[in-house]
Amino acid sequence: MYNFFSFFFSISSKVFCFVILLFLLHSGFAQTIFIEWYYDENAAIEITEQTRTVSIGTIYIYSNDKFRVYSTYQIVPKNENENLQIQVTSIKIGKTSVSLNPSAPTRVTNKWLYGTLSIDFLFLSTLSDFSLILSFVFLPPF
Amino acid sequence: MRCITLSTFINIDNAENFQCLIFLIVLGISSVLLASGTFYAVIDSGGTTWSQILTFTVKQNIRIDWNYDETNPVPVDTTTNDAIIGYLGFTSNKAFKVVVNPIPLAQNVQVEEIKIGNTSLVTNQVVLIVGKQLYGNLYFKFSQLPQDENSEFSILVEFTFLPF
Repeated sequence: MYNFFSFFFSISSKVFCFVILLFLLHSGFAQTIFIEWYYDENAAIEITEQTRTVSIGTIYIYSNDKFRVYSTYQIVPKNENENLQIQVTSIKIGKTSVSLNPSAPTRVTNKWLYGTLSIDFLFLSTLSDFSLILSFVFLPPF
Repeated sequence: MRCITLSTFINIDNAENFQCLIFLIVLGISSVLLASGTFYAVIDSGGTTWSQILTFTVKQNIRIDWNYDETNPVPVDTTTNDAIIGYLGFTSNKAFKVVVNPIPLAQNVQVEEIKIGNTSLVTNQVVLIVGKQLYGNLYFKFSQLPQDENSEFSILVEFTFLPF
């Protein structure tokens, strides 16, 4: 009895899901974002105090509609006792600069971004190993 | 690599993920931490966040400061069989290891011990320097010296620096 019920539910949920998705697509609500990015995540990226820009692979971002995007980041020192003064001054995908200001996101009107992901750094203190949590926030066009 | 996953995505064939899909649409904000590869999500009106952790490591360097009188041979005290060859300092941006190898370029010369400040360096033995710095007077103790007290001899000293 239980098996019949769960079987019925799984079938109906698939149908229901499909209907929801259709509804969303037809009503134009479902804007999606697709990101393709390949790099060797197991390799630590080597830098020196003189490093200004780091390039991290090629990234391809596209959507089925225009979108807005901005970037935020967090510096996490490897040694948690250290107070590292590191700033990211710019994040670029190819030639397009991604806004670091949440109040003024970058508008992507041709629905895609493609190119080398590069990050510009400003090191204001002595440098030690760290992690960078990089985030992209995608927003609808308005 | 840390994975902070606030939502799981999305395989329509699975009944549990169906509930997840509805939850995400209602929530308005979704965030996924994903490894290298591809990522696919719905853009919510409140914004959809995609995060990545990048690890950066600083290349290790070594700086050597050595002050001694280069114009004259280093005097060896024949009563104590030792000599001080100025002030030597090693500084790195990370902890490091160092190995010393003194190579006498004359016969009848043997180095028994080398010290930098208070740190003893045994020939061909790796010494761990956790504090990123090693400095002090460069001190040589000889176990064998030439018989002729007026003779001069040379020693080639090799320092090898290794990551920690």
